[in-house]
Amino acid sequence: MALKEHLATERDLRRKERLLARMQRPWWRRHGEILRYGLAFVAYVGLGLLFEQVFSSWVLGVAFLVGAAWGIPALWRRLR
Amino acid sequence: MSWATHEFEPYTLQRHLGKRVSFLALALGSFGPDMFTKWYVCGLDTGAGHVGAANPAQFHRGWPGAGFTHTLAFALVAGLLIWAVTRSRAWGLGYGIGAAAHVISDVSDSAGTMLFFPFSTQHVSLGLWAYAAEAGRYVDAAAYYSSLGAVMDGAWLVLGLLNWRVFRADYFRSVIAPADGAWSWLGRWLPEEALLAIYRAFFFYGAARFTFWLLWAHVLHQYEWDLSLGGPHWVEAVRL
Repeated sequence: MALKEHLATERDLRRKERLLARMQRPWWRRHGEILRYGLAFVAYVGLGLLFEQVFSSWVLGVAFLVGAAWGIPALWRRLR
Repeated sequence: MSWATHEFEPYTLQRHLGKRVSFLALALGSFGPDMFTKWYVCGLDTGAGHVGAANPAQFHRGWPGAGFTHTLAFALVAGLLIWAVTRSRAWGLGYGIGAAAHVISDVSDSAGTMLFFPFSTQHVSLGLWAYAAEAGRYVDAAAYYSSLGAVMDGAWLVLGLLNWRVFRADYFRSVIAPADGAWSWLGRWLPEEALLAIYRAFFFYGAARFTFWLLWAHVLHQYEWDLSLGGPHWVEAVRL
């Protein structure tokens, strides 16, 4: 087998392994990213309805998403 | 005045322009014309009283005033200046196109923009919905989200969602990051997950803003819908 084909097969195998490992995870971990963004969205709109000033600045909006979608989960992982 | 359109535009524009433009510059350009003036147009209540423009529409879009920021000439000059300072064509082009898109979108309301400034101070306006900044931030939001403005925001939101592939991590890695060295600079301190959140945040903010104001205007308060041209007619539309 030519080296190029061999590497392609290797890559393909690794991709299939990754996919299989991903399929075996529970749904909330498989779709964790969508879930995080969805929860952040609901929380942000909810907070806005409670405190209208929340929507006064896009800097705050950007900071909220970065915090909710990355900051809090990263902190949680570190604490665990 | 557009409430969420400027947050959605950069994603669709970038999808069409590819690696030729920086996404961050497009986004900054898209906010650029309002960046330093919007707070003064909407006004600010401080302990000492209200701080804001005496004539918000004139200040925002007119001349004399800060209306020069809503002109194609401003987009061109700012784009060239940023190109010269950063020596990055992707940044100059991105900022210029983002700002021009903002100026063209704002033609849709009753106040319009001085498209051909400094050659003319004539306002170009399609008059699709009422510009109502004079009535204060909340009435302006209610008017916008009861008019064709809401349809405009909704159309941009749908366009963004139809292009959902631009939000994927592999799109970010293959198109967004290589077009702009700022991402690799940011990547020295932040992991990819955080960079992705920053990249997606403008759309997120726009979508949340769109949802919030619709709920606020039509669920929390019962403002009347008016999707006729130049509406809603329960608020006085400003013309310049």
